[in-house]
Amino acid sequence: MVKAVSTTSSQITLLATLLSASMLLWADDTLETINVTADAEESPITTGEVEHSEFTGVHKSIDKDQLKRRDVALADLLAVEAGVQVRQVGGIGSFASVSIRAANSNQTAVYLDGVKLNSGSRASIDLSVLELLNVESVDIYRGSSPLQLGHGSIGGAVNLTSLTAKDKPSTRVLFGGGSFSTRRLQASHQSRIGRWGVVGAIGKLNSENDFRFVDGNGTPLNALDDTRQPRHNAAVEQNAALLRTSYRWNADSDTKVLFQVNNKDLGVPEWRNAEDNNASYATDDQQLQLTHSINDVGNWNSSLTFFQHDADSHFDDREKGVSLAERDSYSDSTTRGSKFYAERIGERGTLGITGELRKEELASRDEILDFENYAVERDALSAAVQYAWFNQRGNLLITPSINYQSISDQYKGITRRNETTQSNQKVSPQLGALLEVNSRWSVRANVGQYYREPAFYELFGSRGLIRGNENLRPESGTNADIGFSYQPSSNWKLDATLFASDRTDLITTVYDTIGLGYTVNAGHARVLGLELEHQWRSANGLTAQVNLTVQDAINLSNNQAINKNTLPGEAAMSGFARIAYKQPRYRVWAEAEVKTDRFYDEANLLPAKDTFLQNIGLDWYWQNAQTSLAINNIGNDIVEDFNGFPRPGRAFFLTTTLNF
Amino acid sequence: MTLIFNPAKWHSRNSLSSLLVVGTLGFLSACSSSDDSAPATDTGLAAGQYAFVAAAAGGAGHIERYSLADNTQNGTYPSTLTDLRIATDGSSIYEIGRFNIDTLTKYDINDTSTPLFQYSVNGDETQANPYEVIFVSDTKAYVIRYGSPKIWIIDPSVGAMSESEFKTGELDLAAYDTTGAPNASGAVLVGDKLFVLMERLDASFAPSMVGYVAVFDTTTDEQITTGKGTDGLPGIALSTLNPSTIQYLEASDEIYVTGRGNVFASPGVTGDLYQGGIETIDPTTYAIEMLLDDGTETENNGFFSSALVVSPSVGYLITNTAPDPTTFESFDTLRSFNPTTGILAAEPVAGLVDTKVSNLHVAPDGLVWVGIPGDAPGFNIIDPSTNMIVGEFLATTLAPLDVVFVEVPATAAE
Repeated sequence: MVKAVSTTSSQITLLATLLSASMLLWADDTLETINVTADAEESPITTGEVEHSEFTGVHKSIDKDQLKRRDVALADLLAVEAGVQVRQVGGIGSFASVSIRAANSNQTAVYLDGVKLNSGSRASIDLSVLELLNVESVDIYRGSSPLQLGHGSIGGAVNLTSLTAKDKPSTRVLFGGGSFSTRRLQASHQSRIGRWGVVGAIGKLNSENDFRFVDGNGTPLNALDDTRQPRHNAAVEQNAALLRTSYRWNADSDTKVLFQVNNKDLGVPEWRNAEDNNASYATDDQQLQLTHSINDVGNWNSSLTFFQHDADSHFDDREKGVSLAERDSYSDSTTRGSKFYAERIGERGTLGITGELRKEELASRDEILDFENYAVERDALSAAVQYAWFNQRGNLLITPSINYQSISDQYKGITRRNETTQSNQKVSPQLGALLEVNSRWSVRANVGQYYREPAFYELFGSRGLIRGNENLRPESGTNADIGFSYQPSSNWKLDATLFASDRTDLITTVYDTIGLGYTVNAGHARVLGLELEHQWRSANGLTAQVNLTVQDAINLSNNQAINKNTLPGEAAMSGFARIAYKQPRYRVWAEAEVKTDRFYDEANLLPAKDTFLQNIGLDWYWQNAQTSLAINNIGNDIVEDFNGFPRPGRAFFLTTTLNF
Repeated sequence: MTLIFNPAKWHSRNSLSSLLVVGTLGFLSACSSSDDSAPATDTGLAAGQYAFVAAAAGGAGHIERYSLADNTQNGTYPSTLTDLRIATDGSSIYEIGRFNIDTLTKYDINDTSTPLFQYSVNGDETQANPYEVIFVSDTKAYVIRYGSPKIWIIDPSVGAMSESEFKTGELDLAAYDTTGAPNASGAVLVGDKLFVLMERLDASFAPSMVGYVAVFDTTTDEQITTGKGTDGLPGIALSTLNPSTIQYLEASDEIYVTGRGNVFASPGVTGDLYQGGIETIDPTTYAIEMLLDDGTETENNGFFSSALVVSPSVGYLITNTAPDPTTFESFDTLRSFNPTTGILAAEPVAGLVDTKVSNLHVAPDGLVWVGIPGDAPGFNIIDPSTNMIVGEFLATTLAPLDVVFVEVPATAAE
């Protein structure tokens, strides 16, 4: 388990070869001389990326076969993982947010190549704008976050790693379609040319999202006026592109540049599915990140990243299709900054330091209700230090760390409030331990404190009758978990984790008697839970995966109506099972997902329907092509993650992927 | 004690401040006996007075039923979203589902699970947002719809499978507004006339125009030209902005309208924020007078949130402080005033100063129920003869928004 001292793979190969050679020599001194040529390929530089061998928390990497699926989106893959819940507003491409261990989406950090996407202007990340095509791996960290990600959040973190160039060039073209007039076209290429690596990908998705559902006409106690209707004004058109280049300067340094764009036009359905509603929501996202890594400088490895994220959105409801008043709202946000990581690998441990400086800017305006326009700037500094210590045997890892974060906001704009500033600093310690009892058993425990800075709209936003509160403090959470892994062989693994979290100063909106709402730090929640994960595979191509999460996530409030009630949107029990059988020419799979005991509201008077969804699929491989057929939601159940906003029922998708 | 009321003349509750219009032909006497041995009636509930409270908190709402014999809750109706109010025709209760609910649900007072009907009041529109139901007779009522220029005429006696017979006509208020809806927020019935209150907010929901009261003849459903309008409008032009409540008091034969002024400090409204007050309207001549002005920005007792007239000599007013410029939190104070002289009492009602007060209602026994929201919701009960809180606090499960009172009579055999 001890992390290998940084070296190139050529040296490892040489060492192994020499050892083997020496053993052979020792065994038989009549052997001929063996010539060793150390000409192995350079291993990739991963400085700054999460080092899982030094992470004591709960980590799950989504299966790579799953990432190749095109009948689902990123949100669907995350939703079936233990401890993770995803809520989606509607059909394909609609807003989808992730929460970990009953922390809401504002409290769950999402990263792209180690750079946090959440910001003051986008506290909650819309997963639908993150294209699965552009992703090499997806890692989920529950409760505690690794040092390399810097400042974690109360629920945990999701890190998306973008496509990387491999030594063997490849080109892939995918086209497909399916239910609700869904059409998808994607192409990607990756290769290495000398010291250069390049990855390019483009993708286009269209869907009418005109799935049929039973519209209750807003009268749940009267089924006579229910009608079966297609969903109106839910169409989506999404375009995405990625370009990633890398240049290997030498064995110890490289530079990577990532440029990713995504734009999406989405119809916004009306609460009662009105046909004449034309409200729309358009987003334009761009991420530019440059990372330079250099190893072995005075025993230090380091990486420096410069980044700029732009996220613009336009909500057009000039015809008052979904809003009470005409709306023509624009939100333009930019986050730019730099992130630094350095590590010194010693005999018994690794000292890691990370720091990030970022500037976030938001300009929010409405062309019609222009008196509510405002602009905000945030300067944020975060830093963390961790020492990953190993004992002599190398079977015990202890990782104490301390995090610091500081923000300073300046509010400007023409609203009811004058120009103002606010700032705060927070220090949060964390401690983790991982013990490998033997080759089969390991146990881990973690405890730490985390903070979530208020979003701009919570501080300064004023829309309609909701007012921001510039005196808000960060939300605070203390997380703890303890668990074990049992892996008697490479084919079978069982993980179990008990987790707890106490969250205070949660930001909620309260209303006064004249109907005016404002944000306050009044919330308090406590979460207790158990996560079970089981993975198994046989030698003949059969694999199985089962997850189960049970949690008691409750509000602790002075308000008697909500005190000790389940947090809204959080299922008390969620489970997932998947079985797949893979052969050289084909793969068949089936999966089922269940969620029970959810409520839409804090008073727990509006229960969400328990869900039991089943999907099946068949992949067929022939030469360089793969054809996949998936049937999702076989039972045609209509699920509403948000009350009154149905998700699609049964759907068929057929895709063909050509690999060159 | 005998309770006398005529369902045909019963006026349902009104809007946000939940005024109870005491315009019955008879007088409401004290409650019937609280004796546990009171005989059960054909309806299932024991004879006596019951309060039905529309309440909400934490993203959900419902109706709670209380026996006034012992002030205990003995039933709750199915849950819905938060913006709901309640009305009664004297024998059944009606859940008015407002914003994003847009339904009218009729319940039997005995059966808390199954509605007598539940119908959408959107029709071909969306976000109709019904605010009030006014009962003219057993077979005719008006649904006041805040988000639409049309008032629905309905037959409240239809059953659960008779939606085609539910809506019988419309009244048109489109002339009063240019944004699509004049924001009709309440109404009262005086004889054969329906007086409809309209806030007339602009597209940004700012009170840039004075409120209005339209008058309709309920026998012909034709609008009456009052001669008190401006710009050719037939209704009665108010002098206040953002009117929230309308109430008729038979004892004084006056209609009382409360205007909140520019309580949200909408930047689109020029002039002093305090352009509210209580105005009186003569239901026969339509003459309108300012009874109690809310003052000015430099001299005031707070915005007038809502008012309840109990008798010609006693009325109550909820005043609301201007929102704190930093936290935007505001506070309420309950004050009494004389509805004849328009004089505000020098001292507010003890125990209800700088707190949270959401609605006012007159109970059958003449006491005033004061709705208290927040973490420990319920009602304080005031004796209007002393202006003091009397009895115990009546705790509710969720924060009270509205209440109606229904009496279950003793059986004929008694």
